[in-house]
Amino acid sequence: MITVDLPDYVHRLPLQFPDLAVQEYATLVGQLRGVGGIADLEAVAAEAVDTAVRAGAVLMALVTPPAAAPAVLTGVLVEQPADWDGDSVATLRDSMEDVGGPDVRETLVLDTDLGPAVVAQRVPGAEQARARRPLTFQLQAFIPTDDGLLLLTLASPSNDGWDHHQLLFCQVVASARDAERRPARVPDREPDDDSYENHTYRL
Amino acid sequence: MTTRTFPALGFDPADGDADAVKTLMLQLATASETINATLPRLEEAAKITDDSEWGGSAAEEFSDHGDDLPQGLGKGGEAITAVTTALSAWFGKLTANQARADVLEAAAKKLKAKLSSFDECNDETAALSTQLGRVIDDANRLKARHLREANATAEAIRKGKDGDPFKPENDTWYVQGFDGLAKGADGVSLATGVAAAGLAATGVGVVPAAALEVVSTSAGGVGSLAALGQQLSGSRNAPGWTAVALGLGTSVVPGGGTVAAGVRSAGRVALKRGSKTALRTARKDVEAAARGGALPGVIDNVNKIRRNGLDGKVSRDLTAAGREVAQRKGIYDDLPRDLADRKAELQRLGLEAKQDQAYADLVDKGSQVAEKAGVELSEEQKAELKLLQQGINPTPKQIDKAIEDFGKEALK
Repeated sequence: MITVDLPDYVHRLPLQFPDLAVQEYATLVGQLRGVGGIADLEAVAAEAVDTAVRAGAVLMALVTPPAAAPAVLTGVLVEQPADWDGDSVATLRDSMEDVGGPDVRETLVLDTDLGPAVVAQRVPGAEQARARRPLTFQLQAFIPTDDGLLLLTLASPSNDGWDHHQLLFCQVVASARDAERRPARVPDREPDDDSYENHTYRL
Repeated sequence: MTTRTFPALGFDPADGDADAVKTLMLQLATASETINATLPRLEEAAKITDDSEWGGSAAEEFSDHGDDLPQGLGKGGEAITAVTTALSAWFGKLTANQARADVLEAAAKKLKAKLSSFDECNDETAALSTQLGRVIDDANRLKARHLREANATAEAIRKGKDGDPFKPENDTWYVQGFDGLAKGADGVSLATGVAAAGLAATGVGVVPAAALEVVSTSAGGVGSLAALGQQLSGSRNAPGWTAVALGLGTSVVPGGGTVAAGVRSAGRVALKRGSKTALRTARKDVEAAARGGALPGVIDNVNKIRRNGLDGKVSRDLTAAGREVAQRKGIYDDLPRDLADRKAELQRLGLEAKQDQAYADLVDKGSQVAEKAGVELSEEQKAELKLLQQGINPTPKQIDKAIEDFGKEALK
């Protein structure tokens, strides 16, 4: 059973009960908006939940941190290549940078108990505006699981408090574990003596 | 051999001598060409002995030893072609990796030069150090990839034309698997983006126009992730967070199925329930607009345009729209004679027309959203919406153009 740690301001929507998910989404956004009545929000909520389910989401949550703009978190399970091995993370990272989309600006590898996860940061640019795609800031992570790769995506229409979202997302990814499995020890990385990294430039 | 140095990075992320590879490729090509020229002649010579056109002991001796030559030479030619192809692919990778290494070296050099201009640590030096760390991380990744590609090439050369790793389809399949994942991630990104963009549409978060201001500066306004990797390697869990089981075993099937259908159905019910309220609210707003009351959404847009230094454009647009309204209503000649008053009146008429147009679009958009969500509006509701649109009597879509122009300006 894959488990992640979430703070209380991440409101998971019950995708298995779609009507309830739509209702909860609309209610939460209504509270954020601070104006009474959610009738006009239900269409938007239905579209958001429907879009997530059509994309195969197993997780959808509304993230409402006090010091940052609200965001949407989704989780999709994707097939893992059959020959996934130690080098695969590096290859996947390269693929994300090469063909993951023009808004992929940066990638990172994070250690988790399930194995290394690839994290990508998406910042919208002129390409998204031209293609009339939604202008949202995003973080994505591929986490290896026994069932495949769990693709988590956090998206916000604003960069207000984005540093908070970055920390939150990376903490959620790093906390991924299999509750029924003993955590695999992540091997210590051997330092490269000849690397400039170990002789960091300091003032 | 050209000596490449990387003083800023401290190591060469893509070592190798492209010139040497090129020279070797030329030599192999020459050898291959020679074989191609020799092979038919050798085959012809062997054929002559077989056809008994050339007899005697010399012919027999030649035939005994020469029959295998064309076959051996042919195999050698194939091997050389295979190696040349492998080297040719490697040459492309080597030069591309070296070009990337040069870019990283230049970036590291620039960052180090900037850092050395500071006498003490501050926020700016911290940001520069993070950027430098990211460049070095990229260089390390390049080095690892370069090594993987070099090993794959060496393996391909060792195995020759029958070696699996060298088969192009194999490499393509391997890369395709990961590229497919990356492309899939782009698709999921779009879906989640649509869901998140809905937040802005409901007035929560920032409206798209404001987001455009940020995207025009590309990634400049967004911090790097690089530091987080190190920060989280020690302590991953935030105190007070709750462990949540994701339950992937009961996941829905991508592409829809019963859950997706259920969501659509739930959406219909939810909106049907709310549609009466929405229509009541819409009618109220239209009445307010008809009486000249301001619509906050439109005013917000106009304010944004003004804030971005487009006063002149807005003024011209409003005046033009007002003139059109005045002519249509036949009140053009009744406008004040004083130029300032006349302009003010024209702009008042123009703003009113734009508000009406924007609201008509809003009503139109409302029905589109309803259709998308699978809501079936009753005939009465459709008729009521149509009436609202006709009642507003929309002018040409100038507000759209003004906002689009604003978007273009912001992107410049």
